Amino acid sequence: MSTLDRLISRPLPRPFPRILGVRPVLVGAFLVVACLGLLQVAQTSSATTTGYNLQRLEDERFATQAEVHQLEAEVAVLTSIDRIDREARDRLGMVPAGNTMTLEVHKQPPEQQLVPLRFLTESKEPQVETSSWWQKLLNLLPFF
Amino acid sequence: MPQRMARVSWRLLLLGVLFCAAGLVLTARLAQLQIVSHGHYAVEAEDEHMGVEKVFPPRGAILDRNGYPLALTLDTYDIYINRKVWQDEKLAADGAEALSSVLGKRPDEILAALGPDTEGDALVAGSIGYDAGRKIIEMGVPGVKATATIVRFHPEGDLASALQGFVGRDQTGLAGLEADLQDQLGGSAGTLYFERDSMGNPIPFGYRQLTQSEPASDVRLTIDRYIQEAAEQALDAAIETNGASGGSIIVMEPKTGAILAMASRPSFKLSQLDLADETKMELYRNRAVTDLYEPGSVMKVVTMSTAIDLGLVTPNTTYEDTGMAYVGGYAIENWDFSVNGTTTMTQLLQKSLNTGAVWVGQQIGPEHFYEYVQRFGFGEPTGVGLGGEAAGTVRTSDDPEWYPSDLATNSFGQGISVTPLQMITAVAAIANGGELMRPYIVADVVGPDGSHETQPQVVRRVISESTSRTLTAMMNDVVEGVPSHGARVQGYHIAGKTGTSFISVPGGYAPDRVITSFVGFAPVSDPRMIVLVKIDEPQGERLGGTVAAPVFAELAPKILSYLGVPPDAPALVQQGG
Repeated sequence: MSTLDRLISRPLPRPFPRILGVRPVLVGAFLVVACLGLLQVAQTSSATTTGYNLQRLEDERFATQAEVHQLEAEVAVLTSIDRIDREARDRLGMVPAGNTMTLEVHKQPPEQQLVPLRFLTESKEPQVETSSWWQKLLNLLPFF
Repeated sequence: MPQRMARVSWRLLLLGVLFCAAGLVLTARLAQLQIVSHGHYAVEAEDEHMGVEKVFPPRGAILDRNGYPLALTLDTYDIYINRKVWQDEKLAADGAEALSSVLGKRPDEILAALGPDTEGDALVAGSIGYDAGRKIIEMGVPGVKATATIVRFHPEGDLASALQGFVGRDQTGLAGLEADLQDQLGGSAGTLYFERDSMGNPIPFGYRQLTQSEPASDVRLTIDRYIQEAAEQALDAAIETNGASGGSIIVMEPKTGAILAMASRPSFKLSQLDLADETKMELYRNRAVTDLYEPGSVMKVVTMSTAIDLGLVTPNTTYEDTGMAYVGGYAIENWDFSVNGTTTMTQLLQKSLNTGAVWVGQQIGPEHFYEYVQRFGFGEPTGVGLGGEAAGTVRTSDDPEWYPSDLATNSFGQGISVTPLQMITAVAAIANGGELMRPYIVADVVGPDGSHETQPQVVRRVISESTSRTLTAMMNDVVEGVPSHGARVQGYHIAGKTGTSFISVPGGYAPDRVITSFVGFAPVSDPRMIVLVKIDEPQGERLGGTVAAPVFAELAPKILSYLGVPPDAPALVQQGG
């Protein structure tokens, strides 16, 4: 009887140690799901933004290409024979050549004349390598 | 109680059965739509939701030999209106008003372009400028769609129209070099597969799959724009002066076969192209390579080259000209009905005597004559690469319908049909030392894989160098040995030959219709250019020497000066130091 009493009075052992409650687990799960959802939204947003940027860059490329073609056409028109002829007649007052005469001159050509500086392209001076400050410092030491 | 439950149960049962039956029918229908007919509806859905567009690469440019553009590509837009959307009158009126300022058309003109149909897209403006197209896109007018396209632009205007040709709305070459070089100039179109809305517009950020197009190549020709313009102006002036029906001028480098200019009339204008007019179809061909003619006395240089190359005659060999030659029952007279007595071969060419040519032809014989005719390139296309090139007609002694009189007439250029390009190529062989060069018009093709330059190609040796020198001297005597010859050019030694031939008609020749021509090259010491002038059916003067030769005399100094060829006899200004 006493054994039975002891058995009845002894509290039942807990099957698992109680580390977390139900509520925190539920909150944690909710947060994870929310984060996953936000991650998915962020990825979709990023993909959409990238798609938008691609579209914008493609449009820019198309626009630049069109502009290049337009400029090529304008240059071609400006250098066309008809325009050159028109400018020569209207603006410069030139006329088509009548009788032409080719002259052969049996004389030495003049010595090569110096070209005025303004017609010379910028000379590319060789770059002098400059040493760094610490190299200069080291150079001062007797052993370097 | 059980009785009441039984009455309630059969009604419920019936309802249940009806619901089950309906459910089964729905399920069966769903199964039929989604499983059995899945493929069919998937394709329909894809057609409905997806659109396909061809993406054309910018078409390659056509450049002259110095790199000046003859044909370029500009980006433009075609403006379409959705007829269904514009069935709303107010929307249509507002839209037309908005578009009119950009398109430069009245609103009623824009509305009229919709036509009577109520479905589909209507093209209201084609090939409008890029900036205007972008403006319309940004305006966002409902029902308006702008489709990117490209258009061909010619900065030199109508220069070399027949040679360049033109493209259709799908940017495919239809005539001329645009068609002949379609593979190089057109590249390869790509495909854009995109998700679209119910109006057919692409859904922003929707599904897109782009297969890139293959870039096109630029083509640089051997044509020089200055020489081409000079040739076209000279041809137009000669046709107007002589009341002619047309003609051709070709300028070529005899040593390489490079064509510097090729002009033909009648022709079309690139700036006034009307493909809907079928009566103008005949203007689209390049007559310098497609049209045949009988060359007349120019052919005598081929006959003489043959005889000299075979060692049968020399420039001083003589024959007795009685003014008449009898062959196969036919009597052949000189063009001026002259009788010249003892005549040298050089004089034969100078006076362009038909009887002399017949005599030389008889010395050569049919077998050798036609062998050389074919070696000179007659009877086969030159291989220049231009579409529609004709082979010409040469009836040889092997043909069943050949008669001995054909040898006689062929020897002075009648009864044989050639193209202008064949004729100038043959005479170029005389000018360059005896080699038949393949004429070419494409100098190089510059594409994404680099530049492919055309090299001059020798087809075959036709005559020896010695024969070439001899004929050149004789042709020089033709021009300079005849007083006041129409082809003389001050300061330069010219070699050339005139030609006048009757036009063949069914049953014979038209006595009052001729083709006049002149082929000449200069300078004689080192030929840098050869020119063929052909004027068709001139009224008034009807001789090669008076119609075609003066055109050469006007054109040659411009070309020689432009090419930087010093004259053979410049005026000496100062001698010594």
